[in-house]
Amino acid sequence: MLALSSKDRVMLALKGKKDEIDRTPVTCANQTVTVEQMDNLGIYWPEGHSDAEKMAQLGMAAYKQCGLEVADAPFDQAVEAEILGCEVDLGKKKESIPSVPFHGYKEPGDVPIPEDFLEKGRIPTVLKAIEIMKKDVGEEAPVISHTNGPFSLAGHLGEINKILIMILRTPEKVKEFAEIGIDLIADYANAQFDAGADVVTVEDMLASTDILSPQMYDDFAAPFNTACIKKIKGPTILHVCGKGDLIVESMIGSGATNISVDMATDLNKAIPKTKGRCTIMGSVDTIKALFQGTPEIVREQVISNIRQGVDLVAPGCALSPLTKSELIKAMVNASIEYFAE
Amino acid sequence: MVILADKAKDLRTVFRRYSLEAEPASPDAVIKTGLPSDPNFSKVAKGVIDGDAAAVESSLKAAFGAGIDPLTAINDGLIAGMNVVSDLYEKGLYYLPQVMIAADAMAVGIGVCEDKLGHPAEKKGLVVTHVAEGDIHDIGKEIVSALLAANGYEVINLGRDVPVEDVVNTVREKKPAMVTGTALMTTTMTAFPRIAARLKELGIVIPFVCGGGAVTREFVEAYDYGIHGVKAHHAPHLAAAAVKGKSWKTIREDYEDITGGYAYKW
Repeated sequence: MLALSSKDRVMLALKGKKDEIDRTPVTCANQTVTVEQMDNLGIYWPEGHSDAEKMAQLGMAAYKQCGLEVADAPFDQAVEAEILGCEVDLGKKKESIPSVPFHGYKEPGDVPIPEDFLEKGRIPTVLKAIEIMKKDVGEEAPVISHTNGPFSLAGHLGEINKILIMILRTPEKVKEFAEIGIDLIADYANAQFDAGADVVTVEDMLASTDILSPQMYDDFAAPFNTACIKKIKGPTILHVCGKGDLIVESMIGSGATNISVDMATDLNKAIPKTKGRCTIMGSVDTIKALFQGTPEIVREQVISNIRQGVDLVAPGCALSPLTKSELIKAMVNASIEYFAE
Repeated sequence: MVILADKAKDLRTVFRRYSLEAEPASPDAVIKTGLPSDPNFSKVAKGVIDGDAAAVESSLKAAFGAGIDPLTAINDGLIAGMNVVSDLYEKGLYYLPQVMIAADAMAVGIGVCEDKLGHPAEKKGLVVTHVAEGDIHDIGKEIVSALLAANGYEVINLGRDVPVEDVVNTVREKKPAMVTGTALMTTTMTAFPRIAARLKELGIVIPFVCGGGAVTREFVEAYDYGIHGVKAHHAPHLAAAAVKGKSWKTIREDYEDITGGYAYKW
């Protein structure tokens, strides 16, 4: 078999074409930038969150420096909330991830939705960064861009602690908050495809079962993900943090091309459910293996994931900016070496 | 001087025979087993479990009418109810939203009882809670604070993204029995060892319970005072140990016994 590019390998694996690839790709559904990569480039956050060229260079760093099979942007989950009027803190340090310290709109009707939102805030920056990455590495590596899931966006808009109370007291209001995201996120994702993205990850971090019960996931997250993903014109990854055992079925039902699960999810139970319906990526432990671990621990987890049958190996969540390049390389090399044997 | 009774421990022994894997319980079964038998108290407790502040208020007033004193109502009604809520959460039958509205109802109930008493109920001890500098993810800290308050502790909740010096200064001035820190991110939990080091410089010795998304036992036990808080509902048990004067070292070593054991995963 001819050597495949990382882009071909990832795209084939996402579509479940295992027979056409030489090995399991090693990619990431979430952000991949680290301080070590920043030091090598001399480009840092917070500028990398709001300058397209810097965002693009950082988004390609894990691929160029460590061989991780992805170029990605943006690196935070505050882009959509920001254009909807939420206060956003881009952070002060090079490892700071932008956050939404906003105290929440009281009513869904209070959320101002700008007509030309694709031209607002940092959206043009993200789209430009995607274009730059596409031009630079687009032939070799897949460009995977990120959006929020509608429930997670609702969590920013209404403030998550208040949204959780509303779930029990005024559930219809939570649904109205989540509805805001359906078209907006789909339009943003489609603009990302137009700019050159190969895949879009819908990140629904706040819909984790660490926060919502499986029933609440089905009521307040799943239908909105499904409606949103239906409107997105290219391949999608649905990522939900935390222990996904009880929501995997609903994640698959979203219609996403691929689901990305956290390390707390039991792959042995999840993988059989995906067969013939979508593909699955996961789930190297971003804390115990990639942050605090050793190359050997990372290698063992990658091999275990491959043997369990993941379609793509990936960190279970976003990479910590303090992750060492050595361990990202170990993750990629584990798959290369496993299939060479 | 009146002290709130520590009901949590009694109930824990009752429920110890259940484990999630062996016997998936239904919420109704847990509630039925956990509710006090006296209807005066069971209605108050049920109101807390349902997160129904209006029901808590009306059942408390009915209980006062039946001659029950407010402190007994707190201990045998409100705290009994909150213990059931902790148990439901521990067993994966309740999720954060239910705990949050239960804590709200509990707080309303405490207010009603204190009004009747004419003064605030004596607290079991003082705990300072905060979210690490740079981190705004405060769901975990809110739950920890709510469970501590619901179990009769006075809580100074410093909020989120709290500078190291603010935590240190509050501990120095207020002299709590315990301090907690939560962090979701690997990038922000690095504030914890700095807090521990500053406290040590000042000669302050205190159990410092640290938990949250990225926080691991290995990380926390690498600095003095650090105790890895695994689950939010462990916090009241740890606070009880701290108030009794147990040292951070003893709490670290006896963590499983103190918190009820079975939920602790290394």
